[in-house]
Amino acid sequence: MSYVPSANRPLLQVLREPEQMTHLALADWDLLVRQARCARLLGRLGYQAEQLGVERIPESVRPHLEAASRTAEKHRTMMHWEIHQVRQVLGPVTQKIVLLKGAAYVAAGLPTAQGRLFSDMDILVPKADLAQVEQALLAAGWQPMKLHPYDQRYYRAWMHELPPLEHRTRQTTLDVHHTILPETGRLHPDPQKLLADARPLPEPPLYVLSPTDMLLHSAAHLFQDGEIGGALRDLVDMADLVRCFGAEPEFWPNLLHRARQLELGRPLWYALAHLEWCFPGLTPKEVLQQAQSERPPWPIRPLMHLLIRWAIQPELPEHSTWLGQTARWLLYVRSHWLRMPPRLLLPHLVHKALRRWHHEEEEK
Amino acid sequence: MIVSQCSLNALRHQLRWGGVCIRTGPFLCRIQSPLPEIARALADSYAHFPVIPEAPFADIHLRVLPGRGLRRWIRPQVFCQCDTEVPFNPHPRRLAPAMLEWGLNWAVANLAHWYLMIHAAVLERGGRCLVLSALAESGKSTLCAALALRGWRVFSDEIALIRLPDSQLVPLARPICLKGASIELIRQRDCEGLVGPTWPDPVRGGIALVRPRRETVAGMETPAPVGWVVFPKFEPGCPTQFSPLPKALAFLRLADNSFNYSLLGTTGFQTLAALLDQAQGCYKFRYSKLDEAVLWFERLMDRPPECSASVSSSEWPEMSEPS
Repeated sequence: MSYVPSANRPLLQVLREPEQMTHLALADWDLLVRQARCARLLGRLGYQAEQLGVERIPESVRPHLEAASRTAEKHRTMMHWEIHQVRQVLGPVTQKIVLLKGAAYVAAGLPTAQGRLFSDMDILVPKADLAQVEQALLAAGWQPMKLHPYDQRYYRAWMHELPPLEHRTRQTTLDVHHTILPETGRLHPDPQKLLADARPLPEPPLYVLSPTDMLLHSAAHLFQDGEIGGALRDLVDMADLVRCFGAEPEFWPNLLHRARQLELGRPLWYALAHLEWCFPGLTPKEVLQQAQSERPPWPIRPLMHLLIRWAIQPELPEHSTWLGQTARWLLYVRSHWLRMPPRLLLPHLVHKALRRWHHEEEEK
Repeated sequence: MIVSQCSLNALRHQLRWGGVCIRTGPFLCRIQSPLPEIARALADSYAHFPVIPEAPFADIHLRVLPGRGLRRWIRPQVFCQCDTEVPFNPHPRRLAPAMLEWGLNWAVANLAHWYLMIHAAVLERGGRCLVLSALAESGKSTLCAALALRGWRVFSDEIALIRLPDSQLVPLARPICLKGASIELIRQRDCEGLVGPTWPDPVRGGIALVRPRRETVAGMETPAPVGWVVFPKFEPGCPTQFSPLPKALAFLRLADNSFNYSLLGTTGFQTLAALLDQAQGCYKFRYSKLDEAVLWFERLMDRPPECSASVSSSEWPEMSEPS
């Protein structure tokens, strides 16, 4: 079971042990830079290089890392500004704006934000405030990205978030969540519990999830909601969270209990198992032991393990294998399976397929 | 070793397996393609460029590939791929060499954030550079090609590369891409046979590449400071006109035409400000007659430097950090 697709080794290696970056040959870098770029982790390597001292990196590689660091820095600045803007608009209409994922890492100044790229901003607000929140955002220049009535209904009736919003001038994307997993899905973490435990930031009414919830959300996002494309980056995020929060005395003892409270035991097991595989030694042995009770039954466990390992491979075209593609496709199918019961999923897929077909016809 | 020293067969073989590594300006580009016309395009437009046979590390990896599925054979298409990105829609297969150029430009503009990059043509004469910055369809490439035929050294017809610490312009030395009516206009003036074949393209009225001269490629490691910044505009029937532009306005226009000014933040501001401080003059320029325009540019070198307020950041009042 320890088989790692060979193309993936240098990237995993330098993420595990940054020191390895100083021992790589130029030919390794040739592959590594591209793999890291396509896994959205080049900025991360840039940050690691700064920590090690850039003079220890080959000269021809440095500009690429430097460019990635600059890009990450720009993303971080933009995220700060976006948070500021959202706070200005939503401050008067809701008691709690809980920043999620990237926005939370930036606002809370967590090491996870170092060298990280951000694609959009995610927030969680109490469901009771959702209508006012949406009104306020629309009035302040955000607009829906998906205008088709079916998409609007899909999000509003079934999903855990409003249809994504885009700011008219800044073109930034904002996802407004009222819970962290689709309402039609199998697992229902109670948003009230998440909101109740959220930690305030110095600027009211901004909050971030509690440390355990932050990890659980990341796990749920990757292993339940199935954004497998950025799997390696999400695992790096989780490793950083664990390194950062693991030192707090209540973190590990509470984690499993909290996961069960939020119905997130299974995603947590997946997260811990794959963290242990990618970054061995981060999770205490006894926590891994206790989490065993949450693991999936026999045929699913080894199958998922295999699929995730294959799917995590960077998708450079010359290394793209049918195994990797199939694994990603199967995980994508799985995420839909988990997202909706079959009686909703089938009509949904039929509708999507028909619409794509219509669209292509019109374009012709 | 340079490209012209490789046989066409060797190029074709290399392109298909492993790729050909070519240096253009500061970038090592690994080009892969199973298409024989890419080998011909390299042998033709890139004849003088250095090939690095066993380069362990390349800055840009570009693949030029035949269309997928039936589009490989029926109304065949071509597309390019830079790592995982496919920047453009597939085009008719006959435009494969143009696809290579567009792909390389895209890769530079999207990766090389260790330079400040501006959408502009850059040429050098007498140790100073002329920056021609304009939106598409302003005749930038036409002017660039006409000046190249008059002996100016071409840095780039698309991307001005500005080095970050000292605002020196860095040559890219790649071929110039001509479109539509300008191809014949340039071909008439071309007595050295630098303009390559025209590929028919109904959308753009044809595409042709102008090969860089041997000296241009040989000098591609020598950067130069800016001399003049000009914003050209081709307007049919318009007499040749110019007016000096204050440096502050030129700054805004260049920032607007930049690929990564905002990404570079403070560094971008300082680099652009330093570039304009070094400029001897900034102009708006309108023309319809190419020969008159070329004459104006040839005389530009003799003009005394324009007086314009410096835009250097040091002369601005200190601004406090926004809270």
